[in-house]
Amino acid sequence: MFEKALIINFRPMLLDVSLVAQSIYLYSAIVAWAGSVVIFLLSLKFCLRRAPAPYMKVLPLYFFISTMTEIIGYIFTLIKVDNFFVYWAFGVFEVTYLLHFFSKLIPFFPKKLIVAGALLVFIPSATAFIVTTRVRTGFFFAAVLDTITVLVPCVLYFKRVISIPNPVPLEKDPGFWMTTGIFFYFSIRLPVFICTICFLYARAPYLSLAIYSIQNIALVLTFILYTKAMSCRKIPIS
Amino acid sequence: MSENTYLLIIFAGVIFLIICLTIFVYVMIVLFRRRQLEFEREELRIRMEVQERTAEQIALELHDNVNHEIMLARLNLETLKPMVSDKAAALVMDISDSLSNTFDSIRDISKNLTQDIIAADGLDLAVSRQLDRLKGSSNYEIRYNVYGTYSDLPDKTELVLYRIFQEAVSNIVRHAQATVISVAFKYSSNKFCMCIADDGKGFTISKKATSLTSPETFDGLKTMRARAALINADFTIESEPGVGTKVQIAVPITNNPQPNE
Repeated sequence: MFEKALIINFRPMLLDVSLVAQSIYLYSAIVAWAGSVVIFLLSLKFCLRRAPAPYMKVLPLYFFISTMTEIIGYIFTLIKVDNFFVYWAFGVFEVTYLLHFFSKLIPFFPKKLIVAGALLVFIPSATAFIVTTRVRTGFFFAAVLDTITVLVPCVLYFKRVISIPNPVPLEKDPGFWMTTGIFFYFSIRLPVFICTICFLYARAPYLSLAIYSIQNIALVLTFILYTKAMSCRKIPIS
Repeated sequence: MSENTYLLIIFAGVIFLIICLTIFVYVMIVLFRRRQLEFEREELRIRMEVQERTAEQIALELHDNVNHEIMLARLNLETLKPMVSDKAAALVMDISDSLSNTFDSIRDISKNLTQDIIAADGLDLAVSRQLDRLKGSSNYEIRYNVYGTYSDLPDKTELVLYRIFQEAVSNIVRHAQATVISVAFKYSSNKFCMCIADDGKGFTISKKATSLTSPETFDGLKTMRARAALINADFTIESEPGVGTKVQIAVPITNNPQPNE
């Protein structure tokens, strides 16, 4: 998501890249975006009345906002308005919402951490924006902090599932597949984000595009993991 | 950069991500299964320990209270005997004998419930006694064989084996409609095998029904399998309708103490 903002805003430079690279990027982006629409529709079907677990019910809204952010970001680009703000706002929403998801998934997850996580992303990025008066700086802080903040509960969840008895086998637990998806995507997001910036500033936009194309395919893999989570059988409430 | 190199970078990147993801999921599932198995074993160990303690408590109550009361009743009957007519005295003697038999039965049951039976007699003698009692009922032909040179097993292992033996015999008596019960102990240099077989009606045994965690498993089988897991023993069961059932437990013999003890 954040890298997309970068890619879109560095568009003129990317026009120098070969047609094959541009096509791969374009198709992978279309597939990833189509994937996000599909996952939203699937979540409407599998995460509301037939949700395999209560915590899955919060997901449709997240997928909806995520898909809408892509559309709004693209519209902003079309009307030649800086779309960093859209992705920054999404970053704050994403961290809050995913922490809310984890608070439902992990028992005894302190609710305070949701607010703390949101503030951890919002305050430094807003401060950076105010101090530097550049939305890109705030956006950069939001992207880095958002990723780190979401990875922490993922690690907590994994630590928990292998340290206490679980009522269902891991491969049948929707929480495991969801967390694996989130963990997978977010753990490659930060390096991809940093690499994208580095390559763009190093005037190697084709490498940025290559990495971002890989990221798009990773996003599709993440959606497959989410689909696996949604297709799990209803787990008994302990 | 050539287009081929570009494609190769993307392809390699995607393959790398897929491999990482697969390894991660595999490792998590393996770690999870290993931990769950440890939890299950621990839970079983605690459950068995609680059962043993409860049984010991019941045995103590039977021995100290019930048998004490029976003994007092017998003493009173002895006191009563000279005071009554000859006919009544004969009846008092009958009652006293019945009480004496009940006293002995309760003492046996009490002994069976405690771990003392193994500590005092050892597995071989305890099993042999149980089989003698079954033989006494004249309903079964009992075959009991010991092969190989006797090796000493830890008391706890012998107790678990004895409980499995009790469960197996109890299953035969309750369900098998058998005429022959065979028990064999096989000692070898590195393992001990206990085999309990019958010629009863048998049953169809599915792979699922012998699993420790499957809800389809019969309670008796589950208990035996769980007990076997506690002493790291291999538990196998063979059965066919009309042919009979064979339960076999193989325990490794080591000089080192068992991990679960």
